[in-house]
This record gives sequence, structure tokens and C-alpha cells, in this order.
Amino acid sequence: MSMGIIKASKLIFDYIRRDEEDRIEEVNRAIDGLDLDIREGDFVAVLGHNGSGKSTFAKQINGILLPTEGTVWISGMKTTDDSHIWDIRKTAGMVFQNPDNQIIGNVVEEDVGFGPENLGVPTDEIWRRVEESLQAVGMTAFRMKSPNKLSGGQKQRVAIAGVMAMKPRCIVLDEPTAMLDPNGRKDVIRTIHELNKKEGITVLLITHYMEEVIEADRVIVMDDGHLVMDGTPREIFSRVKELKEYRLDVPQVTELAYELKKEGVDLPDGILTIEELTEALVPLFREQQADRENGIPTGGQREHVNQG
Amino acid sequence: MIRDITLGQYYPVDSVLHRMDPRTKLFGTMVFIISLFFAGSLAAYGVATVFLIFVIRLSRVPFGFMVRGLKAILFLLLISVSFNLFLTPGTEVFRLGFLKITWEGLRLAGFMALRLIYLVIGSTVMTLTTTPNQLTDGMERSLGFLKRVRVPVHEISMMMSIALRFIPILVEETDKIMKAQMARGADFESGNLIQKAKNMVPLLVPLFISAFRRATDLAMAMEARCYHGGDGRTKMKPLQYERRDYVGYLVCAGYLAAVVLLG
Amino acid sequence: MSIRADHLCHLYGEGTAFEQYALKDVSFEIGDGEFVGLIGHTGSGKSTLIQHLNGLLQASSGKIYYNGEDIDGDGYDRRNLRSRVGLVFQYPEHQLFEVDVLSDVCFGPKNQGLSREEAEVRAREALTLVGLEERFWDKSPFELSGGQKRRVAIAGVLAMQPEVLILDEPTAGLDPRGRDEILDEIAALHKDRGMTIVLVSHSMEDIARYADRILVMNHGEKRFDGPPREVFAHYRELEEMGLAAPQITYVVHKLREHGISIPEDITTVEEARDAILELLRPERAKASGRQTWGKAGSGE
Repeated sequence: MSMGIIKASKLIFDYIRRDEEDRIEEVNRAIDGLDLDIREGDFVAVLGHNGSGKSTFAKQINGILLPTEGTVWISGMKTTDDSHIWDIRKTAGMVFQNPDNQIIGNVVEEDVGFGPENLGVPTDEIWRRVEESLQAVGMTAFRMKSPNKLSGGQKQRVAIAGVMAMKPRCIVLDEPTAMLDPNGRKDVIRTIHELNKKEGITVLLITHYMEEVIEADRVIVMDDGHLVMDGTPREIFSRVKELKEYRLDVPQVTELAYELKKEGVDLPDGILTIEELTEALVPLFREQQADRENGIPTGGQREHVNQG
Repeated sequence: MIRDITLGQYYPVDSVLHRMDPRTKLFGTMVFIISLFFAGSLAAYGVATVFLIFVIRLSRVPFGFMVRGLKAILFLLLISVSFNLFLTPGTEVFRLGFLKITWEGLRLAGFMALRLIYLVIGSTVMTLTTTPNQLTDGMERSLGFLKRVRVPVHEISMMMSIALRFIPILVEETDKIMKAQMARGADFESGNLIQKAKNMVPLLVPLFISAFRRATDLAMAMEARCYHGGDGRTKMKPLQYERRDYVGYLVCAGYLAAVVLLG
Repeated sequence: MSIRADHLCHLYGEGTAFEQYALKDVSFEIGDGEFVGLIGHTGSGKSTLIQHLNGLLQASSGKIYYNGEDIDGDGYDRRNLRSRVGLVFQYPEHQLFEVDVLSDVCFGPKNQGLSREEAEVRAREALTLVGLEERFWDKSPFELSGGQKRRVAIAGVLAMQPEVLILDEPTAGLDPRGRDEILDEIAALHKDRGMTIVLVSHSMEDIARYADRILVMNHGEKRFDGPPREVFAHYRELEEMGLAAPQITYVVHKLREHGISIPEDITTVEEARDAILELLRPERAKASGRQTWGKAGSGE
């Protein structure tokens, strides 16, 4: 049986708090029987409110946390297998939430070189990789700058370049935009979409900004340590009521389309963009206008305006 | 205020000094500091001044950046100058009540002030022209021999490099927390010493917590990027002596000889 | 009660080569009981501006009047001002330091000179206002979740019983539910207590939903000042400043480009839903007595 780049089977993870005498004081189950298989090259978004287990899952992927029960494989390697830990971390790179707390270097290019240095890559090759990675995230012009002089969005792109320089096949981003302003957010999201398309890197984006997931290939919703929804953005966003139950929200257009549908307006499911909504609405207005001009009473029994 | 500390603030321009091997610069700084303790005559200080101006010109860093670091030691400077000024016995030049200033005191105080100022400017030149990473690399290599006696040289230099990266961040954070507490009516200025110390608690506790949080995050990020100590690590910028470094060593040695000879 | 900024300027690095205006000739007046949204991209001067309003920063030129009094005037009690104009910084949970939640919230009132008992009364009231359950009050603030910590920090400012509450991105980093809860509580403070609110936010959707007036800052200057519908009608100029209007504004403008006569100053989902429904079936909307919005449909 073929296996995706990330696979989790019956994954359980408990946060265990112990008192001074090492007795178990409290057990918190963060992940509760998760099964998941992610295909190489996909752009997968993971949604879920704070405490839903999504960040804990991210840390399982490159072996920062290890399963309490069950197994996680990264490109066929078990994360519990000590001999593979560096291969796993190289294969699945990670970008974290706080841009300041993951940049080690005092100069942008030196930070990007940090990963390859750890992997023992020869000097010439490090320079080549740093060059390519900075190019890929559009930060070449800043290579000699101090990270402290960059904006939040730029720092996150440096962090992404730092992961890219390790030549990963997959990048896991744990709420990379939570601390950024809207422009920084857009830049980061555009950058990871480019990496996904141009370099074929598998992306696992953990977020709670809904507008960031509409271009994903697949959306996963987690709640209380379980996987509760799994599908394309369109499928997921057509289930507005369910999303709200999981403490999530939807983009304004999706919400408007949902509200209109509830009132009986005939719109397709899971509208995600402004264009989709207007394209669906304009013909309805046109017909209504034509009816009025032809003297047909408006609001009549027409098939596309169901009087719910 | 604390923002004025320039130590560890790299100034990115391209100059001979910037390109020089950090080991050479470390050696040079050491030589300069030693020379200041040998210097006892005007002539020697003259040579030191010329050398310092020469190095500053070479660095292409605006002079203003060099002297900013002085503000941090202003207090220390004032104390040591006034001690020397008023407490050195000798020929009296001026008298104000019980305070008397002697010719010897003036001379000593002047030299002391110069020594301190040059010391700070000299080491600032190094930190302005050397990225903290190069600096710690330089130390790691220069002190490499200590590894044989089990001193964790790599770990120490990594810690220093990280500390340097986080100093500006923590300084900014201090400013933010201070303002946030002032918005809650905190007072960091008035009161006696004990009261002042007590008033610092609302600043220091959040600052420590934040530093610990950052440290945990950073450790995790480093692990995620395959950091596992110095073994098997390669360097993006391996240290390599060039011609300019040999020239640098020669100039430094010549300078030290001159100062020692002039006394 | 009012805050008036009069030709406010703030210069950074005065007298050096890096001299730069953080605020340039900013004037406005915020009246009693207003809910003002303050927007602008990072570095637009909005954070500098709010720190002037409670006297944490001093203007290079220009004046700020609180209730008609110059706050930089001789003998003006700026510490007292800070308890009347409450300022909640970004990520305010980073300022927590006490051993338990209640003590931390008492910090502000105690600085105002209240006794421990009086301070605790205020603290309890403030914690209730932000909706933090009593069972958390004697816990260490560091054991709480992110959203709970944030409430404690906001309560810490509320306990000083300010007349004006300024919040710098109070929802940054929270999940959608946490965000809505905090915003609803702020809205309640405004509605039930008549508190004047200044809300700094990057979310145009939130601003459109809560504020009745928007101030737009760009490069240290005030660029727009008016009700949301008016300001968001300038969405093209907002975009040039690196800002945007709520998604709904774009939907409405797209529809208008197609010749559909939907009112152009709609900014929220509810308004848009009602206007579209009315246009699609005016009779039904009237018959059902649905509360319709604005003058939609009157152009027929």
C-alpha cells in the first residue's frame, strides 16, 4: 500500500503534568485517535480553535513531540525511530508562530544558513542553498540586514527560507500569520503557495484565518483532538453551521451567500470569493429585472428563487 | 537610556575592517586594551589616538555611532574622574573649600578618562564591524584549544551569539512592559532605593517570563532545524586568513611596540 | 468629557539624520460615549498616537486637551490622567506579574491610592465585566489560556474605572470565538456603561461591525475621519495605503458595476443580505415586514 508523505495512524497524545514527586497530577489528551494521510505535493490547511490539538499535531510531524500511542510516519520513517530523527526533521521543516523566536542568526543570510550548517552541508553548497532559498521567498535584497530591522511578514519569510535551505519535501507552518498585519499575512501566504506550486513542496498550514485556506487543495478541521471535517475548501465552507459549532468562522462572502441561501435564494454551495458571489447573483438580478419589465409579478414562483 | 547601548549592534557597510577575520579583530582589540594600560605619557596617548582615528576611518562607520556607547558608562566615567581629580595628592592648582585639585590629579583624571573612553570606543569599533556570529565564531576558533580540557567552547559561543541577538528584542520589550505598567499607574521614578527596587517587580517578572518563553521557543526552533551541538557542523562562513589579516597583525604588533616604547 | 488633539506632531530622532515624523499635524476631537475605530498599516503612527492620548508620550508640538485641560500643562496630574484614559496595549497579557489573578487586577487601583479592600471590590467588578469566571480568580495568571490571560489584562485597566478605554489590537492572536467574545464585551462596555472606546484593529470587518466612527492614519497623518460607510467608500484610496475595506464593500461595488442599484455604503453581512433580498423580491420583503436597510429598491 502506498503511503503519503505524512501519515498518522490511531495517534494519541497526552500532555502529562507531574508534581514534585513525579506522580501524575493531570493528564490532558490533546490528540485522540487521529488517522490521517497526506499526499505529497498537496497544500493542506488545518483549522481548529485554540486547544483543538492542531499545534500539538504539527509538533508530532517532525518529532518535537512523540506519540503517546499510535504512529506517525514521515515519508515512511517512524518518528519514534531515533536513527531517523534528523532525516525526519530535514524532510518536514517547521515554521512557528512567533517570528522573533525562531530566527537564530544575527544577519538574514546567516540565519538561512543555520539549518544546512547543522546538517553538515559543505560550505559552497550552503551558499548555493542560501541564495536559492532567499530567492524563492523574495528576500534576496535583505540578505545582509539584521532580522530585527525586518517587519513581521519579512521575518516569517526568512524563517521559511531557513527551512527551504534544508531541502525539505514538506513544510509545516504553525499559525505563521497569527502575529502579522494583513499585508504581512498576504505576503507569507503568497510565498507558501508559490513554493507549493513551483517547487512541489507539500504544505501543511495551520491557521484560524479562514481567508487563508480558500486556495488550499484540502482542508482539515480539528476539534477536541479529533479530525471532524475533511474535504476541499468548497465542501468545507458549504457547511457553515457546522464550522460555527467548531468555534470557527467563514469569510464574509461565504457567510453572505449562506444567509441568502437560507432565505431561499438559489446560489451554489460553498461560495468562496467575491467574484463567485457576484457572478452567481448578477443573473438572478437580471431575471428579476426582466420579469418586472415584462410585467410578471416579482417574487413569484420561479425555480431559482425558492420561497422557503 | 538603555537604547543607547551600541555594544552588539552591527553596522552593515563594506570596509576592510568589516571583511577582516574576526580573530584578527579580537587580537587587535586585545592589543589596543593592553596598550592603554601601558600608556603613561602624552606621546603614547598621541599614538593611541592616531591609531584609533585610523581604525575608525577604516571602518567607514559614522563617528556618532562610536560615541553612543559612551552614554552607558557616563556615570562610571564621572566617578572615576572625580576620584582621581580630588583624591590625588600633589601640587595644588585650585582649591574649593575642602576640595582641592592637584596637578597630578588633573593628569591622572585626564588619562583615566581617555583610557575609559578609548576602551569603550575601541571595543565598539569591533562590535560595529563584526557580526555577533563572526565574533563568536572568532572566539570559538581562538579558544578552540580549551576544548581539550573539556570547556564547552562551541556551546558558550552559541549562547553568546543568541544573547546578542535577543538583547535588542528584550530592550524593546522592557520599554513596552514599562509603558504598559505606567498605563496602570505604576511609578518607576519616585521613592527611595528600596521602594524603587520594589517598584521594579512589575517590570522584572513579566520580562523574565517573556525571556523564558522566548528561550523555550527558540530551543524548539533550533531543534526543528536539526541543531545538535557542534559535532558534524559545517560553516557557511568558515574563518580564513587573507593578506589583510597578516597586515592587520603586523600593524597591531607595531602599534603595541610603539606605545610600550613611548611609555 | 472629551479628548481633543490639536495640531499634534511627534518627531522621532529629533536633531539627528534619522529625524522622522511619527505624527504630523493631527487634529481631532473624540466626544463622550463615542466608539472610534483607529486604522492604519503598521508604522502609520497609530500606536504613537494612542500613547499620546494618555500622556505616555509627549508631543513635539501641538496639544492634547482632556476635558478642555492641556495635559502637558504645568502641574497637570498625568498619573491621574492615565487612570481616566485607560490604555490596553497589544498582547496585554505580557504585563501580568502577580501571584494570582485578583492581585494582578488590583495593581492599577492600588496605584491610584485605594486600600487593598477597595481595590479588590474594583477588581471583582472588572473581572466580572470581562466575563472571567470566579473560579479562576485565585489562580496564577500564568496557568490560564491565552484568551483568559487577555481578559485579566483588560480587567487590570478596567479596574481603574477609566472614562475612556483605548485598546491596541485586543484580539491579535486569538481564535475566532475568543475574538468575538472580547469584542462583544468591549461593545457592552460602550453600550451599557457609556464608556468611550478607541479600538485599534487591522480587521476592517470588526471595525465595520462595532465602530460608529473611523479614523484612518497614514504616514503619521490623519487621512479620513467619518462614519464607516463614508470611510469605506474610499476603498481605492484605502488600498493605496495598504488597507482595505470589508469584503462586503467589494461585493456591493462589484454588483453596482454590473448595473445593480444596491446602495453603495453597505459594510456588514446583515445589511448586504437585507438589501439583496429586497432587490430580488421587493413585495415579499415588504409583506413580511422585514426590517429593510436604507433606501434599497427606491430607485425603481
